[in-house]
This record gives sequence, C-alpha cells and structure tokens, in this order.
Amino acid sequence: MAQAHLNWGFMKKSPKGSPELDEARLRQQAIGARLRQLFDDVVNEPVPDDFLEILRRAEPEGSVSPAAVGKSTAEGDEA
Amino acid sequence: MTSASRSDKPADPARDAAFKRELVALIPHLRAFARTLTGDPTSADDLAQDAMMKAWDARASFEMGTNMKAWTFMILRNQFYSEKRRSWRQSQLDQEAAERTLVAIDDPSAPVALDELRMGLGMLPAEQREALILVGAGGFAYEEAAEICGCAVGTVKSRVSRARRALQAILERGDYDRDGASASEAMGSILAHAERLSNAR
Repeated sequence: MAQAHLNWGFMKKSPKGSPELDEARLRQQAIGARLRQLFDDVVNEPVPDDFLEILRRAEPEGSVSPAAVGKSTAEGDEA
Repeated sequence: MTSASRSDKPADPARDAAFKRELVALIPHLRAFARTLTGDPTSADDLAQDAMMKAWDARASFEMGTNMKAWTFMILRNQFYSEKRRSWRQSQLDQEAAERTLVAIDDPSAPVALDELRMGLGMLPAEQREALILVGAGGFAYEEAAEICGCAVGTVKSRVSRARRALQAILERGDYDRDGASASEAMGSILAHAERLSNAR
C-alpha cells in the first residue's frame, strides 16, 4: 500500500513524512471514531423496559402514586 | 426486600424524584459502559441494572449537583470487578467469532469494522480497556477517569496510550496475518502479540 496518501492539514506531519507514522495516525483516528460509535450506538438504543420497572418497584411507598401501591399490594404475589 | 430504612427518616420525595430523573437519563450511558466493558449484551444489562440499583440505594450519600455520571460509572466499575472476580469474562473471547471477523483493512483510512474493534477491545487487559472507553468514548477527562478508576491521572494516561497502541497492533495483525497463516494461527499470534504489548513497560 505504498501509494500516496492524503496529507491531512490538521495533523502534524511526521519527520521525513514517514508513511508509517502517517498511517498510524490515520489508523488511530479510525479506531477512535469506531470506538465512539460502538459506545454511542448503545447510548442511542431504546432502554429496555425492565430498567424502569426495577426502579419503579424500588421506590419508597411514600413517593409512589397511590394507584401503583394499591395495585402491587392487592396482587400480593410475593411476601 | 432490602428497604429497611423506610420510615426512620422522613423521605424527601422531591429530592428522590430529582435524583431519579437524573439517574434515568444516565441509563443509556451505563448500558454503553457495561456493554463495551463486558462485550456481552446480556451480562452487560445485568451489570447496568445492578449498578443502577446500587446507585438508587445509595442516593442519600450522593451530593446533588455533583457529577452523577462519574459517580454511577464508578459504581458500575466496582460492580464489574467484584463480579469478574467470580469468573465470567473467561468465555468472552469467542474464538470462532474472532476468526470470522478477522478481515483485512488495506487502506489505513478505511473505517475499522465494528466487530473487529469489539474483538480487539475484548483482548485488552481490563484496566486498559476501561481507561480507553472512559476517555475515548465516554467523554470523561483524564482527571475524571482517574477518579472513577481510583488511580492516578498519569496511570490513566499511560493506560489509554498503551490501549491505543495495543488495539492498533491487534487490528493490524488481523490484516497482516490474513493470507498465509490460518485464521486460528493468526489469532494465536495476535494474542501473543497483544500480551507482549500490554506487558511491555
């Protein structure tokens, strides 16, 4: 792959324009972008319902709406 | 149930509600941190849920107005290591999947395949992986990442740069070894190489 490659203005040019170093920088940028994408893809997923469900069940009774408390105690499925 | 202190102290519903709003907004980030840390969606969501509940249970000790994202990430991280101690990540490196995703990247500016990166992340030592994720994807400053990981800022910096180098080497070896060596031989040498890199200084 000894072709001429782009000289990105915002990157410091390596001494003697070493192709290896330029290439390493390009790869690092590509890896960085992909890593952020990997992370952001999950951030952008809808949150599964059970997260909110678990949190709702953990709320102290005082701060839960009376309807919700009435429902869960009326069903009384677990002790 | 664990809610023992229900009536000891008058609850502060307004504070709880504000805390909860902020915590709910962080769930996507906790999931992303867990996913990139473990590499496995199912155990990642378990981990994120555990962390979320630990944060909720500890809400009284959180100082509102401070960095809740860093605080919850620290909780998740601690949870990850305490669970990791009882096995778990062993099965993480799925050899077959790894072999399938060893694809060439001939053009250095070509986008890195996500699967390949996922595999590469999984090969990094955990403390390098977490440092790279926090700084490179989570949006944390080195200082914040150091607080989350409970180590010095300089340690985070060196972990991040070692992680970057190792990851690059891993991805490049996938390229170099593609023709010639068989995929599993390639995997073996990648692992050995990654290990050498991560042990180096």
